[in-house]
Amino acid sequence: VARSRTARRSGTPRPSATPRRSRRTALAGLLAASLVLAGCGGGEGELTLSDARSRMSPMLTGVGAVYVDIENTTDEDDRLLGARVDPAIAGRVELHETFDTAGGEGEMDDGAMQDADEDAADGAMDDDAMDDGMDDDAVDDGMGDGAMDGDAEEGMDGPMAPTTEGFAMMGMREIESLAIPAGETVALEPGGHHLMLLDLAADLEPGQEFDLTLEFEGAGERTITVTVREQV
Amino acid sequence: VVTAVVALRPAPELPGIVRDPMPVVADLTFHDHSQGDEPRVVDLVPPAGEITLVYFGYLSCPDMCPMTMADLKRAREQVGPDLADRTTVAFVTLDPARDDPPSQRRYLGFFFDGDFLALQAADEDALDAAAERFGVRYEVEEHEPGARRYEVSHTAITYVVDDTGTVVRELPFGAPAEDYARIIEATLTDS
Repeated sequence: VARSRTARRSGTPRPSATPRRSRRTALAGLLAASLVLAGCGGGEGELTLSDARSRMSPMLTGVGAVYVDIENTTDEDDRLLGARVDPAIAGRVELHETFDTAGGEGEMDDGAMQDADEDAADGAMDDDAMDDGMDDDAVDDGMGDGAMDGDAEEGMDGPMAPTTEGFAMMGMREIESLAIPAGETVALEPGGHHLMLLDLAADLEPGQEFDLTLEFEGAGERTITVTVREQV
Repeated sequence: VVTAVVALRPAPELPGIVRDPMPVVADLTFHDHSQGDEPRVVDLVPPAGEITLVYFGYLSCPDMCPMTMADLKRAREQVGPDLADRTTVAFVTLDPARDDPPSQRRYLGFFFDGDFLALQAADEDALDAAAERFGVRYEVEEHEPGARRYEVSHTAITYVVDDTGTVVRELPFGAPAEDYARIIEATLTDS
């Protein structure tokens, strides 16, 4: 269970996870050739952004999420530092990771969480947002005396796999940056990393497109066209 | 852990898990705002031969909650109108401070064309009691009173409640819509 969770968290090649994710990874490869964006001239390889998409926002709650696959075919590590969007779309964009509270530090290997902030990478239980009430007693109270054997089930890997403490809580938090290692594809996808749109100016409608500018440490600024979909 | 009081029964034929014993939630009541701002007191027990799909979440969730709702919407489309008509999605907010009834109703209406329950617990104790019964855990990020910007960490699970008010199966976030469709079909054709 821990293996699968860390694999899904990271942007590194992962073992077969859910069909959704496997498909996404395959798609990234297929689309890479056709959707290469201009820029990044010179040098070997480049940073390729593909399948940029956002979920329609039904909500009047002012938030949305953007997902994109980032393939780094250079031999230099890069980092995604953030993004910005026209205020006519959203007031602000934050880079977020999804975390779960099932694992302690021991379950999260170094590759699992790619943010630059070492404190945040030390495990979900250290985060300020989770300090209150997240001692062992609270976990026990919340879950009763249930014990679960996740290995008995198929298709139950990943962050939501049942552990001996029950299903993990999942949350999200802002991170400062996201590593895009040389030679790897990092998929921003549901349940993993996303770019959160805050203070949406209007609902996002399926089929709508908007530009989003990503800022990379090495590759600089890259603008992509995001398509709003009903399903991401 | 062989000696656990509550254990999971392997159910390889369908995705998701089945608890043993299955939680009974028939006595839990909520305020439903699907028909208007005036609350209706409802339980989660569907009419005979139908199911309720219960999810605990919050509207400001940009990722897991709308993803799950979109998957449920697609699953209801996949199973066809007959089975979809016998399936009601119930969304219980974990964030009543921000999720006012009109917003919750509009949010769900976006996915489910009126065939849903927009549920709020009567108070915090009632919410915690319901969460404990289902095995839901949640944690509201510390914030100033009245703040509009904070996160809620939570388990993201869809619970299948049958017409006896029993949770017969649960499926965590991340499953493809096809899994939800298979569960809807199997549960409704069994009963």
